[in-house]
Order: sequence, then C-alpha cells, then structure tokens
Amino acid sequence: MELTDKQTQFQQEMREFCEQEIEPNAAQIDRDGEFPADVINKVADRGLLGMVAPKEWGGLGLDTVSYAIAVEEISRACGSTGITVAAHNSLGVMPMVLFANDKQKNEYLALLCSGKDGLCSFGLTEPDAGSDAGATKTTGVRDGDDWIINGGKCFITNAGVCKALVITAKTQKIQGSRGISSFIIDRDTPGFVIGKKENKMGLRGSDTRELSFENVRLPATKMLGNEGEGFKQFMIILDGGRISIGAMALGLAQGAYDSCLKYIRENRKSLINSQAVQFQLADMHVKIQCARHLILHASRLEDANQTFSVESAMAKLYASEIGTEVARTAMQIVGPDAYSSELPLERIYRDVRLCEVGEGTSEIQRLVIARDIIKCDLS
Amino acid sequence: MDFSLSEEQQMLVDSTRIFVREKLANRTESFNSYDPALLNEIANLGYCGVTTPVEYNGAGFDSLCLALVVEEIAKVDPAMAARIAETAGPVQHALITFGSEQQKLITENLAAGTKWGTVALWEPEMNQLTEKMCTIAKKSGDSWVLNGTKSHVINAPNADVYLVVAAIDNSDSDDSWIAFLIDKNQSGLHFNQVTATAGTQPLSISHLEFENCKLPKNSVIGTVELGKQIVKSIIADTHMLLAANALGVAEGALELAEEYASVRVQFGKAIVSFEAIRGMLADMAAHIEAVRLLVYRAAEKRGDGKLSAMAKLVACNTASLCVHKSNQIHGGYGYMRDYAIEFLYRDQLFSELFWNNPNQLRSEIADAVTQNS
Ligand SMILES: Cc1cc2nc3c(=O)[nH]c(=O)nc-3n(C[C@H](O)[C@H](O)[C@H](O)COP(=O)(O)OP(=O)(O)OC[C@H]3O[C@@H](n4cnc5c(N)ncnc54)[C@H](O)[C@@H]3O)c2cc1C
Repeated sequence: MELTDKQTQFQQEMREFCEQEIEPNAAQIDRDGEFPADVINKVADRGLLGMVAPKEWGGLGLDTVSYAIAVEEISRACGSTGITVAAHNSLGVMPMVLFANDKQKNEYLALLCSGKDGLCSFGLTEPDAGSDAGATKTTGVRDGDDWIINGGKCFITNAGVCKALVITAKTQKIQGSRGISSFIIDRDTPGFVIGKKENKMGLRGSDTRELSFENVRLPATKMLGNEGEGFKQFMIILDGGRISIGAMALGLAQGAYDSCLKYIRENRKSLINSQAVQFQLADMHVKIQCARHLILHASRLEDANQTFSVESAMAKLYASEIGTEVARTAMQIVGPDAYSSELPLERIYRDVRLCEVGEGTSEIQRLVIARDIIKCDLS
Repeated sequence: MDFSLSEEQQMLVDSTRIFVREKLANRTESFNSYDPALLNEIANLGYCGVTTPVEYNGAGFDSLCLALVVEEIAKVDPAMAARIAETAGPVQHALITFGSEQQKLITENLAAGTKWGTVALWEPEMNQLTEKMCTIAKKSGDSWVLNGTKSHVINAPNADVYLVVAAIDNSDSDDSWIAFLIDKNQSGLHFNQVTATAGTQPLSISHLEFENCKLPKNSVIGTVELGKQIVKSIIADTHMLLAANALGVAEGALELAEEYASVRVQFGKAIVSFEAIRGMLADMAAHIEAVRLLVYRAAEKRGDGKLSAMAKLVACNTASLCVHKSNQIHGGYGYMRDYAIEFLYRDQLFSELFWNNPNQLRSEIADAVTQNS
C-alpha cells in the first residue's frame, strides 16, 4: 500500500526540516550530552510536540502513519532528538489524550503540545520494576481528598525538562498488577525530587533521570482515569509507544545505511565493485524495508481503530534488532573511519542499542507475540 | 590432541587474572589515558616481553602465552590489551626475526616496558594489501627519505618507536615494500589524533604524517627484499592478537552477564531462570569455547596468515554477539556508563574495525583455501 499524497508530502517536508535544522546539530548534541533545547524549540514551532493530540486540544491531529514517519525522519537525523519527541508524544501526551478528563485536558494538553512550559514524561519503570512493571513499589495512599505518594522511578526520559509527568503508583494492596493507578504530577510539587541526569551510552542529549517521591500530596483531581486502571492504561500506552520506538530504530538504521553509502561514494568508490559489499548493502536495504512495512502496517491498524498490539510488538522487535545489525554492518564496511565521531555511524550504533530495551525489551516483545500465537497466558 | 595448558601457561593466566582484577577492573568515566604508575607496574610484571627471548630481557615464553595475556587483560580492558599486544607482538617479533643486532637490542627496552612500540602500515586509501601504498621511501645516497600518511595507528602519541612500512620509490611492482624502525623524535614526523572514538579511548588512535623524513640506512629493518615477508608477519601477528583481544572481550561480557543474571530479579525470580536468558548464556559460552580453540591454534602457529585471519574473523563475530547479548541481559542498566558492559559494548568495535575487516579477512582466507585445493 502506498502512502497517501498528504503523507508523502509530510514525509518530504519532514526530511527537509530534519536535514536543515536537526542533522547539523546531531554530532554536537552527542558530544556535549546536553538536552537540545534549541532544536526542540524548532520542533515545537512546527507543532511536532503535539503530533498525537487532536486539533481541538492544540495538537496536529496526525494519523499514526504520519507520526511514525515524523519519528523516523527525526531519528534519521538525530537519535537524541528522536527519543525526546517520541517519548513526549507517545508516553507523555498520549495518556492525557486517551485517559484525561476534560478538566485535565484543559489544564494540560494544549500547554504540553506547545512545549512552552516544558515537555511531558512517563514514569513507569522503577529500580526493581522494569520488565515486570506491574511490580511497582511506589505507593499512593488516600488521605481525605488527597493522595500521598511515596517511592521512586528510574530511567525517565525528559524528566529534567518536563512541565508534568504521568506516573504509576500502587493504590490498592492487591497482589499482582492490579491495584495500580496513574497520576499527573507537576514538576514543582513539594516532596517530588528529580534526580541527576544519567550518563548514557548513547542518546546522550536525551534527558534521562531518576525520580523520588517523599510524601508527595496530590489532590484527587490529579488521578488519571479511574483507580486501579493503571496497568491496563500503560499496556495501551506501550502498544502505541512501540510503534514510535520501532520508527526511531528504523530512522537510525536508515541513517546508518545512508551514511555508509555516502562514505563509499565520497571516499572509497572501489568498494562499490565488491560483491561482498553489494550483497551487504542489499541485505541492509531489505531489512530496512521489512521494518518499514511492519511499522506502517501496525500504524495503519491503529489508524483504522483495529487492534494492533501484536503488530506493534513485531514492528518494534524487528526494527530495533535490525537497527543494531544495520549499524554494525555499515561500520564494518566503512572500517576504522567508522570508529570516530567524524562520521555519524558510531553514534547511531550507540543510540540504537536503546531501542532493543526501552518500552519493553526484545524478550518482552517476543512474549507478547508468542502469547498471541498460543492464545494463552504464558507467564 | 591435548587441549590443556602447560603448567607455565596456566600460572601466567592465573597471575594475570589476579592482576587484572586488582588493577584494571573498576574503570571510570574519565578513561582517556593511563596512570604512569600502572604502566610501570605492567612493565615490571614483564607483560611487554612475554615472548621476547631471554637474552633480550624477555621471558622467552611461547606465542600462546602472549595470546593468553592479551585475552585475560581484554576481559576488562581491551585498550590495555591492545597496547601491550602491539608492542609485545608484531613490533618485537619483526625486530627479533628480521632486525639487525642493533635493532634487536631495542627490543630489550620494549620487553622491559620502558619503551613502547607500534605499527604504522595502513593508509587512508590503502586498507588491504591489494590496494596501492602511497607512503613512499626514496633512496638518497646512503639514506632514505620518507613521505606519506599512515592512518589509524594505535597508541601513536604514547609510543616511542614505530614500525613503518613504505613503498619503494620507482620500483617495478606495487608490492615492493620496505620496513623502517623510526624514533618518536624523528624530525618531519607529525601526529594527528582521531577525534573521539567509540571506545578504547586510551589508545589515542592517530594518523601519522611523514614529511621529508630523512632516515639513516640503519633504520631499515632487514633488507629491501624482506619487506613483503615482514608485512605478512606483522599482519598475521596483529590479526592473531586482535583475535585474542576479541576472545577476551567475549569472555568478559559473558562473565558480566552471568553475574548480573543471577542477581537481577524480575517477575519474582532471578532472570537467569528464564529460558531465554539461559539460551543467550549458552550461546555465548558455546561460541567462546569454539573460538578459544581456534585462537589458541593460531597463536601456536604464529605467523600463519590463514589461521590468524580465520581467528580474527570468527573471534570478532563472537565478541560482537557476546557484548550484544550481555548488554541485552543488563536491560536498561547496560545503557548506563557506570556498568562495565557499557564500556565493553563500545570497546568491542576496536578489534572488529581495525586491521582487516570481515570482508577482507574472508577474501584472504578464500585465497588461501583455493590455493590449497
Ligand atoms: C534511555 C532509557 C530511557 C528510558 N525511558 C523511560 C521512560 O521514559 N519511562 C519509563 O517508565 N521507563 C523508561 N526506561 C526504562 C525501560 O523501559 C526499561 O529499562 C525496560 O523496560 C527494561 O527494564 P529493566 O531495565 O529493569 O530490565 P529488566 O527487566 O531487569 O531486564 C533484564 C533482562 O531480563 C530480561 N527479562 C526480564 N523478564 C523476562 C522474562 N519474563 N522472560 C525472559 N526474559 C526476561 C529482559 O528482557 C532483559 O534482557 C528507559 C530506559 C532507558 C535505558
């Protein structure tokens, strides 16, 4: 299936924008390890911080296909910017779109889509609750009209640059993953401490932090959706988020492939006559196209309001694994020059590693897919 | 066929293992250069002279011993392993095998670790032997004049002597090469360090530029006729030792994975109890076992180009598999720079990307196997 004219045009606009405004900064962003505020401002000016929100709430109201295209193009230019935009849209804005009441939407959505007062993060992972996110130890205890939150989170993207976060906490003492609820928490809430920035292998411009909650008092109006729905909510959020991590991996893979080809053309023309290299390029190309088709397929299902959780798991699993393979093969073809930051390849190789881990590791994706195949609970 | 190490070899492995645990583990973020005290200790322990003959200050062990040392050190610090390998391996081996008596004496310093050596062979436009070498040595009276650029020389700014290969000016064939031993202070020699590398930062990988370097006759290693043979010996030695380095990285990654998987609990149990994780550990262990035999065989048959190429090809592939699986087993923590697997994941690229890459190795191996048939 082809992209619609509108989607094709959007893709071309994104390519141009990313090549002009993002890519030239990518090496510097990685080197400095600073959050790319200037770039994100430009992204915000184009409305790209509200891609997944409907127009009436201040978003662009894009379909999922276009959103995936945007994340791919941004990540092709710069992984750090890619994850920043993907996490904000899929994990920050999306829960508000899907689960917030009108009052909450009024308070937050347009503001978050504009990015004027900061981004939105999603705080799910804890030191002891990663793949097993249902094992959340952060607690919310009712106190009159309020909730008192205690505990902590880790590896939270955009935490240091956010206006607000969606977090999960255990509010009912029931075994297992039930009894988890979601809350909206403002950056400057007393008792809420945002820790220091993590020093990471890649995506070094992306802001990843620890959070801690010490008797944080939240009014009941900050609960997102109903009590006890947290687990169900984040499963839905991660289904969509996986499309964006897949798209991010795809963009990084495409970036590695393009950079490898450019290197051959400009520096080692003789390599193009090598059958070994030709076949490697062919394999890379096939893998990238397969990943793109899987991502498009999952996106179209979401756009058609059909279930897509297995398809998004497949897309994310495949795109992230071939992302690493493609980046590695590209480096092998280029050789020692690929080891230096003068080419984007080593940065892409470090950036793409996250895609096999974030928003559900490859093993968790395989569990999701296998569970669907066998149609029974495997855990 | 006896696959066990000799007593001498096993003792070397055990003592190196202790040294590595105590002195080389626990790397930190500011990992850009080595403390001179540490280098001194390495020198005193004799790691730079493992195979150097006793009369030149070395330990006079066999070549497998050198591979074993490189393997052990690479488990936690591939950069240090490469630094030692370069000076203890191809440089000294070439001097001892082909050098003049005066040059052999220099190996005394190299073996003692008071001087470090490195090889400058490849060039920006020459990444395999079939490509034309553009660094040219021109005879001028009794001496030689050298011009050209050598790329990606490891440990270049920290080395005291360089083994440099050049093409002889105006010769009939493209592969009439000549090897020189050049001092760091040689006039006309310039460095150009490669900007930020993905890993192994202390290797300070650099390009060397030779600008009308006037070299006396006695800096030639061996004779002009031996150039090709010297190059082959250097390549075989380096490939074999890079394979040992990759083997060490693979083992280091597996050790970290085993440790982490047994303490990390998710879904109420240590993740090592999940079949998927066990499968990864098993794959790593099986590949390592196979690679170890190949690498040791290449080490025993020092100088065998085909075996060395095979060892590098397969060992680097296994190292890549192991750092990838181990990093995956570490989940989000493997992405953080306070975890040893994060370093290894990046350092692994060194042995894979430097010297001949997989396609070039395949071509070398294919040449060798088709010639035999
Ligand atoms: C850069 C970065 C950004 C992130 N951003 C966010 C964010 O914005 N918000 C957020 O909430 N989280 C975020 N995360 C956390 C991320 O989602 C988790 O790291 C991920 O879910 C894995 O959890 P873990 O790190 O605890 O690994 P673990 O769950 O401890 O996994 C360790 C290993 O065990 C395997 N494993 C676990 N369970 C099983 C099983 N049942 N069967 C087989 N194998 C299993 C895993 O696949 C993995 O290989 C981020 C992480 C990183 C690194």
